[in-house]
Amino acid sequence: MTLFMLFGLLGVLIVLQMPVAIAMALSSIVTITLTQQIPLSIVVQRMGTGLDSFVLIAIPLFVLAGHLLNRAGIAARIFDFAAAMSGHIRGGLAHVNVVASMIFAGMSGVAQADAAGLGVVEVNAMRKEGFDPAVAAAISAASSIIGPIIPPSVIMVVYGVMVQVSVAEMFLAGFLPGILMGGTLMVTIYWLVRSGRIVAPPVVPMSYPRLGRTFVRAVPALAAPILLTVGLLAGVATPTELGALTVVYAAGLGFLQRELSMRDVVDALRETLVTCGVLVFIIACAVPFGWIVATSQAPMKLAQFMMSISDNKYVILAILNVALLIIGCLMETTAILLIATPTLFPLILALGIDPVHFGIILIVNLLIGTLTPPFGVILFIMMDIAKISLAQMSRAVLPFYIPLFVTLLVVTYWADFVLAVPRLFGKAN
Amino acid sequence: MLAHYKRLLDRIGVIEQGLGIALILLIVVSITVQVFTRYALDRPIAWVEETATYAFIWMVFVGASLGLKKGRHIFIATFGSHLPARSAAAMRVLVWLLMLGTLVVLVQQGIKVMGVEGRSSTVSLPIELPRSLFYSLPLTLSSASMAFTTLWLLFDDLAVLRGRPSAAQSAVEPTVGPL
Repeated sequence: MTLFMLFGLLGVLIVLQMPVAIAMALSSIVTITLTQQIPLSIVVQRMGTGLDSFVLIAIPLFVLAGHLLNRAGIAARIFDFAAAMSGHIRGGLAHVNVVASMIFAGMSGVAQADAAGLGVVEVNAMRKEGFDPAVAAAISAASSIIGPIIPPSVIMVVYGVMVQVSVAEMFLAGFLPGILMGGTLMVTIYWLVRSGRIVAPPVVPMSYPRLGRTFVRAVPALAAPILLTVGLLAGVATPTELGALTVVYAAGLGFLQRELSMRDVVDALRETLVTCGVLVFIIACAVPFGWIVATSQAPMKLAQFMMSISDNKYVILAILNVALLIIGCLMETTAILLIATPTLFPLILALGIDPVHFGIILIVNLLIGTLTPPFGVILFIMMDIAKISLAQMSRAVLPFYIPLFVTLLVVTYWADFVLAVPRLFGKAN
Repeated sequence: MLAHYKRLLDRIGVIEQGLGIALILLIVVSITVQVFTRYALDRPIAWVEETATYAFIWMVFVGASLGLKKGRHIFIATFGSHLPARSAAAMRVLVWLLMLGTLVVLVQQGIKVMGVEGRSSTVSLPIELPRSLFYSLPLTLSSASMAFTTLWLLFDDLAVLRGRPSAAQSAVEPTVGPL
């Protein structure tokens, strides 16, 4: 009953287009006042103390680092280097797009930052070479969601804090799925070009002098993801500290190369303040919401119910994936993460699924949701950049669901693949 | 009258922005210093981590109220854009009223919590400060600031219902989700 009220209210408020954070707070306040025996002030208190986490500070740091790197012209350098490296493969810049996104993913933790920063460079370059703008936008959209899978990743920080697993371990677990997603995207592009479904301009022959030249220009930019990865693997600093160091590095690099002005820095800070304020405020408002869900016994009942359908964890994971994909089409990513995690967690533990493994499944799933209409944030960003309609965008992105779903399947059913890197570096069981 | 109120809000927004940016810089600097002192001096300063955490909590609440002024809070576009202008305004009036109620409750409860939290103090900072300064105070102030902004949004949409153009809806920055 309590939960019907909670979710019913939330649903109505969201349909009325109330901001998600306030909708969560209001539905929790009403539910607690009407059904719970505890004073409201205890729940409100948790909204403030719920943010008392050194790990969460990684969020503004990685967002700021992403904004600085975008403004320091690093996206263009990485793109040029990726073009020299993979421009000779059939499909040319389409592959470059994916490779550049994978490299950029190694220092940016937000898909939107990848889409809005590197995405502009990618779409413009591909259009200039004669690609259909819709195809260019679709590939840039699909490749930008690699950003939060290859570490660093803001969404992994949120998940890690919620279920209390090590964020470093989550980061390490993201490596192979991210590389797999990039690889399957490239295979799909190769197939689409070969079968004539994508009209690609003739390829540029491999040129080693060009490769060398662009590499030298890209070295300082490439050093960021490499240093970050090494720092993470060697465990010399926590993800939050690595975030701060990336900010310092990005700012220093931008100033030294004279590509970053004081104005850019202020813009980056302002943008970080608003995006992180809005995002983490949702997390604060989700604290009382999650508390009601957790104390209602409903997650336990859900776990029992699901286990009564099947005690095979692969069947249940399949059901969860389909359900999450449907919700992902309709809802905002952060909100789903904040609601789904406490709801599903007892089930996951009962099935004996590793929390890190489930985190990666959940995150890959939710990121696919950012590419699906009607509420696909990344689609909207790319439509705006490429100046195309939602219909054109949705049609062009269709074939790229195949590699994304393949990645989701592999990630779901091959736990050893996801956990290989954390195990190798002694972080997981 | 409404224009005066808007100017006041804008001024609060400028203060919030300055404060928020200063807090982000404080976070970056304190954590960098922490890494430096741990490796270079082999002597980490314990209260740096606490400073960064408190700065973060303040930053979040300041950023959230600034975000509302910029129309950047995330909502899900359902049928609002398909409604005629006045019906959409009527729907927003309902949302603003509910939001105002929520924020007033948060302010009221926040003040209550401040009394309780004020009795315990910080752990490792060099000076002892009441904990409420870092938990319930930013929450309360931010809720109050958001309530003032919501009030303006409410007046603005009431004006739309009376057939005047909206100042808020045309000033909204494109909403981009955070993840």
